Amino acid sequence: MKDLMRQRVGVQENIMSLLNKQIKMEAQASATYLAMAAWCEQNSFDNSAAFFYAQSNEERDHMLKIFHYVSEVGGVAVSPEISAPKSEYGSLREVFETTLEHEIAVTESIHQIVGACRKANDYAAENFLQWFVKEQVEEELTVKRILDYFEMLGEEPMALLMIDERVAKVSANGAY
Amino acid sequence: MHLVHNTNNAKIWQSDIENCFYFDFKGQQYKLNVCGFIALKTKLINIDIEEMIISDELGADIAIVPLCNDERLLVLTIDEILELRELFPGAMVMLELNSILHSRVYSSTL
Repeated sequence: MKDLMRQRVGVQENIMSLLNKQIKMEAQASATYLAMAAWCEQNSFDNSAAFFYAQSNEERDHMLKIFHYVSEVGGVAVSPEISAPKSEYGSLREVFETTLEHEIAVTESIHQIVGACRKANDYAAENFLQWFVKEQVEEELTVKRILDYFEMLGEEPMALLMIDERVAKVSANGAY
Repeated sequence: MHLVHNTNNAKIWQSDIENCFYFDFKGQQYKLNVCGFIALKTKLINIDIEEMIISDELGADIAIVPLCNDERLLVLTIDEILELRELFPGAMVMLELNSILHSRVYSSTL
């Protein structure tokens, strides 16, 4: 009997399932960051709004990158159903703290898939995911740096404006 | 044709000539390419059986699953979904076993 599955599909089923879950996670993150951008804009944090619009686009790009990979290797990429994101926040700090939680969850998820790829000897998928491993280091670092500003400057109106200005610089230059 | 896996009322076959799978169920035969096979398995797993049981809505106890690029439809009861949920993953295990055999036995002789 031919190995039809291997001839047609270059990714194992469990890895494909994990990649589809990651597609959904990235799509959810994109929607969440869009909601955060709206909140920031409503509260006159213009630079933070621009930061989250860019983040939202970036997460969608990540989603598409994985989506294309699954399709290219002959798998079935699933366009994900996403739930309504949270749109109300108590403060700018809460917005960035939630962002860090999201990024940490994404990092852990990527690491788990890399672990599964190693276990399954799927070197191609592991190699593909290395870009995401590196990207997540940068993503977390950027948000941690912004949260450091809250520690340093506090949350008085003047401090918040200064932090919002710093967000533009951090997002333009990276964390360093 | 090679029988990949079967349950009481359903069978999955692999055709090496046509490079596809055949799925026999309730007196009907459905031809599936590899992608269609994986997609159908995913659709079956994603059906919310709990919701089907709890819901009071008319027709909530059946699920309609399109296949073969919407050319055909499967109308499934909860029992049938459970049976197919046994059939497809079982077939997938057999196909993985076949892949292992290929890599260990056939590939090593090339």
